[in-house]
Amino acid sequence: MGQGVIISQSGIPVNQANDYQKALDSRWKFMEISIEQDIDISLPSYLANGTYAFKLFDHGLNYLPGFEIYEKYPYTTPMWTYLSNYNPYVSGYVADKQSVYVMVQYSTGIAALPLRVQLSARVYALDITTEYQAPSDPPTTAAEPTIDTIGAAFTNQAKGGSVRSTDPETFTLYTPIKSIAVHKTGTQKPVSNIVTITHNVNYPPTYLVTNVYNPTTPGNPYTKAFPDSSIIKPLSTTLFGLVVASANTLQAFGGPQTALDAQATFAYVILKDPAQVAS
Amino acid sequence: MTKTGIIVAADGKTINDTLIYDSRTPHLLIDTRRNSSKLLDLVEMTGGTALATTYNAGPLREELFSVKHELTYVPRTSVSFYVHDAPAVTIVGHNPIGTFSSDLLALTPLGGIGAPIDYIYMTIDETYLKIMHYYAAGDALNPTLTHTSDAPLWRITMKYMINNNSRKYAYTADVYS
Repeated sequence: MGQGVIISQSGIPVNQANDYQKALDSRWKFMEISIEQDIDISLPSYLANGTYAFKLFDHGLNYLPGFEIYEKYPYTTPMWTYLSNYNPYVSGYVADKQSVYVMVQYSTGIAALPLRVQLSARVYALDITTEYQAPSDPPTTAAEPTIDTIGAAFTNQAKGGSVRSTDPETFTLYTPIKSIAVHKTGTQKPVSNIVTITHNVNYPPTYLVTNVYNPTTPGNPYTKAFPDSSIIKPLSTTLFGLVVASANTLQAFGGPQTALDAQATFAYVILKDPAQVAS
Repeated sequence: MTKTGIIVAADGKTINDTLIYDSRTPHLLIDTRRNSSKLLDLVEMTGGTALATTYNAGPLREELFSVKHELTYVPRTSVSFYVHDAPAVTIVGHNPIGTFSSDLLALTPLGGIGAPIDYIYMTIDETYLKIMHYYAAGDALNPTLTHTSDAPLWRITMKYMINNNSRKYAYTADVYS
């Protein structure tokens, strides 16, 4: 039937709106947030030598979601994270289809110290392992805003919203405030240590990338902790290797110092930049 | 969940069935009511000045850019660097000209034994987003030999986006199955 809703930003006729001039296009996916929460947990100071997965929380989405972890600094205990000369230390974060975990490395023979993990987590309701590209109807002639007096506002009463609010989080939809939309998601296995994604945005877009590990892949470092399920690592812009975007492709390169993980599948989300940033 | 907003059902479905959009759930946001240059912008820059140091003297840092974002929290941020031009010796396998790369731009290939460590990176706190240039000689075998950054030869466009998500509203979605 082809029904849907498109709302352009204030001052832009809908039929002349470029993607970056839209507040809503219901054909698109958005960076919808499923869970946002702070976590403060203490973990055992001593376990036998090895890497352990401790569950932080359930997300319950039944797919491998894009998610972000923000570690809080300064820690109230010393900064153990990623300092491998401490025992135990946090070696990373992963999610399976139901939960988010912290991976902790324990080493026998080294003095065990208490480990307290404080962080914020954001889980997106977005299965980035699904092949998806947003439909788009680029106008032949793009419009520039001429007036800024027409728009729509839906306030969020639960957050104390009013139409005069200056806090963007107190609206469920307000045309001058844009939800970040998704242009493309998917996965790709590296070929000859290179991943190339064709996105056809026509300028280098903002992107987030990560790795997905399948338990049956030989050498998968997560098979011991997750023998029956695939896992996904947090979204990142770096991936411990070189990732670059050009006008029509997103590429990740491997190499001695910047290796794509040969045991992993590259996963990505390319965002729709919310303003004209092509240059 | 709040009752105001827009929900859109999937083609041929009802709003009690499959939704393709629900504005009532939180989303990653950017507030275009604000001065857009504070939250989203392109900035032309070089890689910095010709910082010079020895292994013994230790690393140097300089601030290349800062913007006061006027939010009261540490916001989520995306920064990337578009390389227009760079010294030929530094671009082999790294940051090819004509591409955007992520929030750390290596001006020399990272990890070379004895090579200088030269990169630009982003920091964000409750007040400022800053772009910094870091330079270390990295040459332990010649600890008093002065190494000099070729950062002035780089021509870069930096793109940044600061989101308006404070994380002050703990949120767990209703999970439908």
